[in-house]
Amino acid sequence: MDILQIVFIGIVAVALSSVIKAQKPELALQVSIITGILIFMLVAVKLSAVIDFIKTFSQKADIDSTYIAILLKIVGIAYIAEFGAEVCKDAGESSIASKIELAGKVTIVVLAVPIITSLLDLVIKLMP
Amino acid sequence: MLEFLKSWIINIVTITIILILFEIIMPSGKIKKVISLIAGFILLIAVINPFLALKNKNFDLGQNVISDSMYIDKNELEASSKLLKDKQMKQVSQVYKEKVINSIQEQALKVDGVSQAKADIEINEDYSSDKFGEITRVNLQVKRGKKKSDSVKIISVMPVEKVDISLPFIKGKKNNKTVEAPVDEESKKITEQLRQTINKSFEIKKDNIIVTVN
Repeated sequence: MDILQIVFIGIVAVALSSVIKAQKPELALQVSIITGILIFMLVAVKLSAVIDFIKTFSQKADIDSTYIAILLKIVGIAYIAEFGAEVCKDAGESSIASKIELAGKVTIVVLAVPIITSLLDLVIKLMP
Repeated sequence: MLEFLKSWIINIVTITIILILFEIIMPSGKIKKVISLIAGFILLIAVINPFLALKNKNFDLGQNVISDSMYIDKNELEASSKLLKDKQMKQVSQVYKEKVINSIQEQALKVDGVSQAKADIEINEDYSSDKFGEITRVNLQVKRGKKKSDSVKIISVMPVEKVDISLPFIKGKKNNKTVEAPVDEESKKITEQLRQTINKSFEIKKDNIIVTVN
């Protein structure tokens, strides 16, 4: 049922935006941003359930929670960066969108540095 | 050995399933490649990690991650605090400059025969040096005249000498010279007095104090 809701919101927003675009093109962007945030919020609630499930799943299998925490942070950053980049692309500012993507990538790499160094440490310790 | 293999395989399978789940919910953009790479690293760690236990070596990933991220955070903090320090020092030197200018102007107004004073200073703004805040140059513009408090006591207007404009140019010049001489002496006196006062109160070399009397 929720997917119906989301698709309906999307279609209404598209219709609204195409009507507004003819009259006031500067308002069309705002409609698309608000729709994006609305859908994002509706999905985020569902996503939190999936994340809870993954956490309990990893605890049962005795997996280090550090892996999951870093992965979750990375996915969150990726979602936010992609959302911002898409909004910029919709507004026709693809150069700003690419900068946002770059910022997202840099943040993710900074988060991933401990993982990479750990892997290197692990390999070095394994050497005889 | 069998127990070890069992836990190892369960670990790898669970991590693989979790990574696949993450891959499904990942946004389909350019960042996906980076996330896949990191997911691969995590899987690699999960595969290699149990072998360390066989070699009787302890490896705590959590601790490693915390120490590494601490190092990154520390560097980030240092960089941002340096930026903040630069900004703060600029503001501090600005406030200091304003205070010094105000006090120089106050000192200048205390000197006899000065009615208005406007000061401008140059200071050493390199906060890493020992001489940070040292005043390197003072420009002081003063206006001669009686102070406001004195001006109230004006009793009578000084009589103006008769000016004869029909006199030839050379004669006029001669006259001017005789009139200007005492005025220059007075401004010299004021300049010297101002220099002495500023030199004493702010410990600035007399050569670096430039006084203009109007």
